[in-house]
Amino acid sequence: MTQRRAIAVGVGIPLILLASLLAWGVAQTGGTQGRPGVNDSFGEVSLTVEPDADFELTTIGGDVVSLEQLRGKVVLVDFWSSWCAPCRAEGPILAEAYKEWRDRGVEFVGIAIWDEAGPVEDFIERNGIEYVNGLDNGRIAVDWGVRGIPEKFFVTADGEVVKKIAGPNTEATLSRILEELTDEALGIRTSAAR
Amino acid sequence: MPMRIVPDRFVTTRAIAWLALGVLALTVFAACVQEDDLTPDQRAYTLDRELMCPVCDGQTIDQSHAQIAEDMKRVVREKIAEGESNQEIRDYFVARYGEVVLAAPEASGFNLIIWLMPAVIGGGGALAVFWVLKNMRRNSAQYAATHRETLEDRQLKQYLEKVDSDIGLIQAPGAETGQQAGRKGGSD
Repeated sequence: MTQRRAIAVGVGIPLILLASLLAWGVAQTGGTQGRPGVNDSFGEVSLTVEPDADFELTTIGGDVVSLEQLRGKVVLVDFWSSWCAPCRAEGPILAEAYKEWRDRGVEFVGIAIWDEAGPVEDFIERNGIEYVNGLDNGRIAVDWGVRGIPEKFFVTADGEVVKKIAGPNTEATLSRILEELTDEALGIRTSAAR
Repeated sequence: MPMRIVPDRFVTTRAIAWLALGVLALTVFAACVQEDDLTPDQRAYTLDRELMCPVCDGQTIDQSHAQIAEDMKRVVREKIAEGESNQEIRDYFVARYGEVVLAAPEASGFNLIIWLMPAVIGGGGALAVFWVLKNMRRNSAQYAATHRETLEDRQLKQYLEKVDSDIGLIQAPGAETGQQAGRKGGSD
């Protein structure tokens, strides 16, 4: 082996290995690093919570609500904040959707995170939101693996968390998901929503 | 009292040995520090530096002021107070945010590559440098040997020429015979 070749091997191979390690690291993060905690674009993401996860949320009214209490209903759990632009855009859509879906066995629960009671109550009132809402005590969002807002979790009537959506819904996307879940609950279609 | 002269090489070797011993002692000491030896605050601070903020650019929750990082710090302290071990707390966050939440991935399975690669790269590089230096040294020794031989040959040639000149077999270079000198002087 010539000297030049030895230098090429000694320097080149470590450099190639380092570059591979860097590429692997970037691939591992999936490009999610660096986002400021607000989900601007809509999309289904992998679940970050056990299927039987639950929470105890103190609502704005002072009651305590949990998924256990809502067993038998399809539940949409929405993590949001009054200062987040996509959440503000989505607020009226959710408020209207709830009025339509509550009679079809669907319950919405809003969990405001990284926020304060005043702005949250103001937002709820301004948008005519009728579903239960409460402020996170700082534990629920982490327990549910929330990375940004808005993020929604969909829970079947059996209490199983089956879907996680990041980013704001439109009326159409929300209806499609809830139809799948309610159809499944009624036995019209099984496993379509999973 | 005569001053003791210590060869430089010996001093260097001894310094390296002491340094290696110090590093080894520190490593052993660090390995012996158990969770139980730390206060809850120290444990929390250690974990804060081991967990990445999921929405920040390469920052641990210790470095980040993002709200999610603040929540995670709070959860770390709650879980320590609830009696969970550091490993249980790490597992809790990995289950929710994936392996990327760990500042240093677990040294097991595929992740072992990450831990071993620096050693492989460093070792490979050191071997390559060693090989190159060894080659350079050999080449330089070969050159010196060849050069020395040539020098000896030249010196031998000069010596033999001098001997031949002294015994009158040949004329010493630069020396002129009396006849030649006289001829030159006459022509002037």
